[in-house]
Amino acid sequence: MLHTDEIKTLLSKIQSARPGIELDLSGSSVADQTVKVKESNTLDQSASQRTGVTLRVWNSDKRIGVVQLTSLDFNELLAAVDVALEAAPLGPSEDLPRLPLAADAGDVNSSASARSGATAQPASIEKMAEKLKTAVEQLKKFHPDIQGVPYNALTQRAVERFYANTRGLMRTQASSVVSTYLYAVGQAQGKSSRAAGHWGEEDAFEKLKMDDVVQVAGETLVAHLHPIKIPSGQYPVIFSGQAFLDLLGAFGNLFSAQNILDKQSLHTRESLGQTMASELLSLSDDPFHEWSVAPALFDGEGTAVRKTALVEKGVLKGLWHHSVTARSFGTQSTGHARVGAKMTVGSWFYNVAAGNGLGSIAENCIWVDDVEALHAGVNALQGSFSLPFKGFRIENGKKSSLEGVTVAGDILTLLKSIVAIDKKQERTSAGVCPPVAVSSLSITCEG
Amino acid sequence: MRPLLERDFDSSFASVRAAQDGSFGESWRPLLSLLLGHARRSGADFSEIFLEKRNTLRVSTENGKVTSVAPSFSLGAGVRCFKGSQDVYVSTNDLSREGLRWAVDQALGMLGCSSRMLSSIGRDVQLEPLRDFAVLKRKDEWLAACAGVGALSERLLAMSSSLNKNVAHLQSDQTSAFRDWQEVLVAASDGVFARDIRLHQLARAGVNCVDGTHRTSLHEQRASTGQPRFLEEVDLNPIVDEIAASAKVMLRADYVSAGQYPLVMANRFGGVIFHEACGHLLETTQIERKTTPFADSLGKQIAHESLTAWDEGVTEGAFGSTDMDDEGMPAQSTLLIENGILRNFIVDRAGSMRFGHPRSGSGRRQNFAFAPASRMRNTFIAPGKFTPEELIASCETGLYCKKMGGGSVGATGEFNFAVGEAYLIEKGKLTKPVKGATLIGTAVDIMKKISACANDIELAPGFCGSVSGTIYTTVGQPHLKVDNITVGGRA
Repeated sequence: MLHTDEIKTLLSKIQSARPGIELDLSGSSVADQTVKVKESNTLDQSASQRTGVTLRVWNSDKRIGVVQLTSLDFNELLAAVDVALEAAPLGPSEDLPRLPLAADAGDVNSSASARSGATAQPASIEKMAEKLKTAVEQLKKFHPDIQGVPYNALTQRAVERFYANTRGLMRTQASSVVSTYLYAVGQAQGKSSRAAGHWGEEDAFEKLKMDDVVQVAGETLVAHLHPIKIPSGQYPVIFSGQAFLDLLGAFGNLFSAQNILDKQSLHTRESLGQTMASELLSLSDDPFHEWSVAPALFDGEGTAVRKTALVEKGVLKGLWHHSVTARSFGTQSTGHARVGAKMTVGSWFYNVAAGNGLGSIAENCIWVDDVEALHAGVNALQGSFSLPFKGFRIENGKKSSLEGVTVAGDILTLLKSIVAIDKKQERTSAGVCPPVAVSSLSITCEG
Repeated sequence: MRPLLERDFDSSFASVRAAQDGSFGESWRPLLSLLLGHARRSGADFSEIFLEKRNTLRVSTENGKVTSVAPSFSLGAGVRCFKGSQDVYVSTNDLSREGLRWAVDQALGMLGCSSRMLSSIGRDVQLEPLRDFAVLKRKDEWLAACAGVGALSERLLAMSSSLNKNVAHLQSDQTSAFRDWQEVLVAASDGVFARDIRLHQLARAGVNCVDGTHRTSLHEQRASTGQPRFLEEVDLNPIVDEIAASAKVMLRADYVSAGQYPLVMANRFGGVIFHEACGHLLETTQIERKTTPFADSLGKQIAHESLTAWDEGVTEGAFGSTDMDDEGMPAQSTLLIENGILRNFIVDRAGSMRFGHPRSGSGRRQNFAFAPASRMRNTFIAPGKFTPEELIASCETGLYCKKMGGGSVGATGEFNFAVGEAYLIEKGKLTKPVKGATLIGTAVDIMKKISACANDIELAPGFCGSVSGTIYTTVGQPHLKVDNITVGGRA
């Protein structure tokens, strides 16, 4: 565990060695272990211990230099301070962050803090291997057409985050996360090979229910083993919660105050208070939702993380802010800062409110279960997307898997054409979200 | 004294506690041979230690102002041990004797080996004389010869100004330059002891253009390996010219109609089609996972007879070139496919040990946190006999893909990639520009449909993300024709 006294001493020693400067340090130390089961049934095991530190130094002109390094060693930090002091006059001269003060940083969420503080005892690598091997075997036996589980892993990670500065703001947090994924390949007689999987994440080894992951991964793959082709055309579309949040996340500039200031957003300052989506859509960033595993208590500036309303009944109500964007917008930081040479912002945990149900559209639609290749098929500044996906044709309630399909459209048009939202939220890797129905999108089918 | 940021970041590492004399080399021999011997005595069949020091600098501008100067330094080590068919990998930031001992013992523990007493005398593994690839090309001088922040800022601001003058309906512009200097040392229980220095540099510009409801965003980049003065000397005008020309046609381009098209793909980054559709499937990591349809295809026809393809690490200055791979093996040229017949795989040490294919100098990783894996370097399709115009003229209707975006390949060989700039082909001629196309298909199918190659091969730099992280690569090809492919777009 990082000792706050040691960090305070480090800061004090640096200030003594380089009088007249202010600085802050943020970062984390991570220890993790991962096991994977190879197709030969042997194990692939790895472990690491890593430290990442971002050092920000304010010179006497209040200009700032930022250096990233991999150590909290005093001599290395001092060398980095010198580099930062040289960088400062050469870097940006406007809209500079100020050294955060404890009075502005807010109080961390106490219940989440208690949750986070209870870090779990790590399991032995043998226990991890046994748990994963059993799960892989179960998945292989789930259905005769399942041929293997080429992508699988079980990881446990202990993280110690910290923020500290020379004005006395000091925060630390320890947390643990255990995560897994199982991605299987299968092929039915006369059909093409298909792949599908599932994931799981908890804050303790014992809580991770591998049986559930196996069950969902197996059911999902089996559902895709007999795919059909359909004519390309316009179809009503339902996105699973995961697919909707993956797509929305690729257009993060919609909620980034930094992107708006940089003119790299589909929104402008004037968009706040305007309708951006169907009135059915309400969305918040909800880091302390009960399904959020090991939520961060503070951001890269040490500001307490909190829930932020983004969209209410289709109207843009809020943005992610750090201290500099908040100053520009005349508001307060929302605790979304990611600190680097240039500060950015990003989501913690989306929460799309449940609706009144999908209604009849669920009987005849294209169901998009999982969008793929977001890094290639999304043009975030153009607002457009054209993405391969895994999904189904649902016709009169009958569900058939699709292969070789893409879905294309514009995000702003899509958000305004939401026609229904399911009653039940799904847990996803990016937040919670119910399935979301859209009136019409372009679907291309291979062949 | 020269300012650190102008010329000599590396001097900041002089104080790093474990770097001993400030650089990797002979001074590490006693400790590494001792640790490797310790691993061998404890039961490991093979072990390898990878040390890495990194010094990067990125400068960015937005809308005519410097918005970021980002130096970073990192140190790390990775220890890999094999026993029978098992292997483990442990990484750490701590390069002290104690830190490396911890990493070796962790690895041995995970392999089920009992850790023996670490002897303080004797060199248990006899390492070969150091193969110093850095000395051969005077690479120790590279870092000091790189452009400093002032020079980079000046060049980027000039490019930003030029974008403002030349790009219509410009809403915002971003330029950036980075250099990534990396020193590595590899020591292994088979005696390998090798050092190298790598230097990757890249200049990039991007724009966002808006006119009413019409939007487009574009970017271009130039990159090099092992050329210290690259960022000071590279001509940035073509970046601006290409962006301006593309913005002019793409801002009001219609979305492509979904369907099946014959396709002509431009050279340079068009090579991403081979990278995604076939290259990944020739890596031995895919054979191990049983996720390639080509595992048993050596010597067999897997592509159209017009197709010959290479993967190599030797082209001077190319982004994927390496004098040695991350397992200490010198770079090679590897003929992958010859006239449609599979000749070789892309093979790392583990792939060679498990499948018997000869190593191809392809063991690569993003950094010390990743175990090396078989990865592509400079991968390209060889030129053919046609001209690009002949390929276009051979299509009654079709799609011409001038600029490609990224792509990916899945566990069943299904690939996809995005098209940044495309034109319809009608009656053998290019007509209107279209956007929003995604090409999809399966590797086995598409490789047989690449039916003609032009004579104008060019390479383009890129990044490849996979099992051992994100690495520098080059893709390339001449203009080529695909008889038929599914184009995802608007229906």
